[in-house]
Amino acid sequence: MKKLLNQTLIYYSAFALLMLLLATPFFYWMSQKLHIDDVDEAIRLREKEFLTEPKWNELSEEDIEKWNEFNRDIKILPDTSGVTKGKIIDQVFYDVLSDEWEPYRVLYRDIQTEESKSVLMIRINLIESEDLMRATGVIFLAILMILLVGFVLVTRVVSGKLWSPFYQTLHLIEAFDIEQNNKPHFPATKTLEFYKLTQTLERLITENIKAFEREKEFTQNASHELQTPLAVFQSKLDILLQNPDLTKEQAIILQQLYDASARLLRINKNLLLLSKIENKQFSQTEPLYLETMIEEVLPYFEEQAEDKALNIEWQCKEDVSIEANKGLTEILVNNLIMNSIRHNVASGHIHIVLDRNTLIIKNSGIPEPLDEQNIFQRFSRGTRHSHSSGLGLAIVKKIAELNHWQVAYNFENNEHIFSVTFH
Amino acid sequence: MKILIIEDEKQLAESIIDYLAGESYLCELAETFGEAMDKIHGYDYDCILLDLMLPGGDGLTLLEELKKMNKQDGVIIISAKDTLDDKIKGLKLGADDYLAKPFHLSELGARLYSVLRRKQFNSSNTVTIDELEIDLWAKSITVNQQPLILTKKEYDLLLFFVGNRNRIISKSALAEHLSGDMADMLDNHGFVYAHVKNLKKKLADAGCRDYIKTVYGMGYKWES
Repeated sequence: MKKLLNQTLIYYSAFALLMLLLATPFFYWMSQKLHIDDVDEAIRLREKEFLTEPKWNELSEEDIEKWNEFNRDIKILPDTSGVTKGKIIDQVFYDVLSDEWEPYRVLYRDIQTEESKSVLMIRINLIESEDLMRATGVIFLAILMILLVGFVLVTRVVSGKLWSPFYQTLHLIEAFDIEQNNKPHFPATKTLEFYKLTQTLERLITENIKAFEREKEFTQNASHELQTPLAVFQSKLDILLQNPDLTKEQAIILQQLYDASARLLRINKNLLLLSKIENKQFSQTEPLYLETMIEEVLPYFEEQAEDKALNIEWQCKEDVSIEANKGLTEILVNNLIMNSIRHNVASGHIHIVLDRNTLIIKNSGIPEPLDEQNIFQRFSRGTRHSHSSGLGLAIVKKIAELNHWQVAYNFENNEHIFSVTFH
Repeated sequence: MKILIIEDEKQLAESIIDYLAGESYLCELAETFGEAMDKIHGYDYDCILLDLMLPGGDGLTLLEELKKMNKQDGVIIISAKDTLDDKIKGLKLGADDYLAKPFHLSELGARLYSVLRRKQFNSSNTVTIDELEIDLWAKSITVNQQPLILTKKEYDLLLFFVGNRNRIISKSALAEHLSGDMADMLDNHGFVYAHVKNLKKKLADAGCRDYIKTVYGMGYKWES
């Protein structure tokens, strides 16, 4: 990923380079043309000067020889027919002094001197095109360098000043976590776009927080409101059970109602628990030892495991000591163990290991991996299970998040492996 | 025994009254805060079942009022607000027990029985059912004057039955009673059967009559 300002810089630089590349030949051509025009003008001026001098036609052969000796660029030559006359042309002359061929603009024209018909030659040395090119190149390269350095400096200043509210806003949104409820305070800005950006973000975040709160409240209120009708429902079942005239068939239906009621209660209780965790209602922590905790609950699970003839193996290689809420930690451990029983196969096995800050629970089960992305979501289990509330692992995940523990799921050697890393 | 039920949910209150009526309980109902206030000022009760969220006021205020009046009524809070704070607050204000809604009526029966026994008998608190004697303070049992050793679970089970004499107790109520918070987790209540079977066997071995009957395959009943 490239920074926005660096990308802008690249475009600016590319544009500057392109413009200079296009401008260089044009500039070269322009300056050469201007120069030639200027030189031509000077030649014409000199021609006029020469011709307005009335004495030139009185020059004798000797005078001409003298003239030619002292005038480098205006010479009177014998008439030769090989040259274009009356027009200024390009011509190259050998310069003895500098031992170079030099470019010239030259005008030849006929003149009538005292003695004979001669040719007047007026020439002016041109700048060598090589020199001109070099000079142009150097100038343009210098401009390019200055521009680039300027761009970099300007970009730095711009990023430092103009864009700073943007980067601050960016950092604040990155740090924003709706569950932490740490609503960011964006920097004040005079730039319209940033002002709009922060305004919009603030509105979005406020609405998000509100929606999140409403959702949390709703879950909690709904579960609370359900408690009473559920209590009535269960109490009526208890009363119905007292009826001495119940038939066997009715008793079976009653048992099914009890089971459904138990499941309703379980789901409701777990939803309530989830929203309580989300609302941070378990702030009390105490030092806990997982070995003791697991040993206390294992007897309950062994009774449950007997039904499926499961073999539970428990091994504490190294006790884990943590500082956390006792109730929640028990729920986490219980949910994981219950999960390993519930989704096990008949005569399967469970292996619980406590080692180096990690609780690992391996169990046999369906011989294919579960969807790692989804198992920790609410009501997401693949195989519907009549007893499970569909919330057990979601609660595990929530409790772990609350304590900054890592929960992981793996499938290895036909075993489902859940692990919690504490600290 | 006079019981006052302070509960605004009429259906639930009726169930409680229905359930308790079988025994020698005399139940009265107060559905609002004001009604409850009048009743606790006017009469004495052996035990009050108190809902905390009432139309017209907070149940805890009633508890404070009882304390002020120096009343000896037993109080069991029955509340849908199942938070530790409420529980502690209630117990600090003098409540004898706290039962979170929803609950099994048999659980309420057992708790009520236990509170009433505690209130009535101060030093010696012994339940006698023919040849069976349970010392609630010492948590010991004798059958025909011979001591009988029970596990903690079996003892709990026995008390639960005694507290709900002649009423049918569902297996799920027993499971919940025996495993507490864990009950939610457990898929099957097979372990209830195992514990009941053990208890029955121990009682029978000690020469006790078979009081515990299985009903419809889904519950148990202590008949005496």
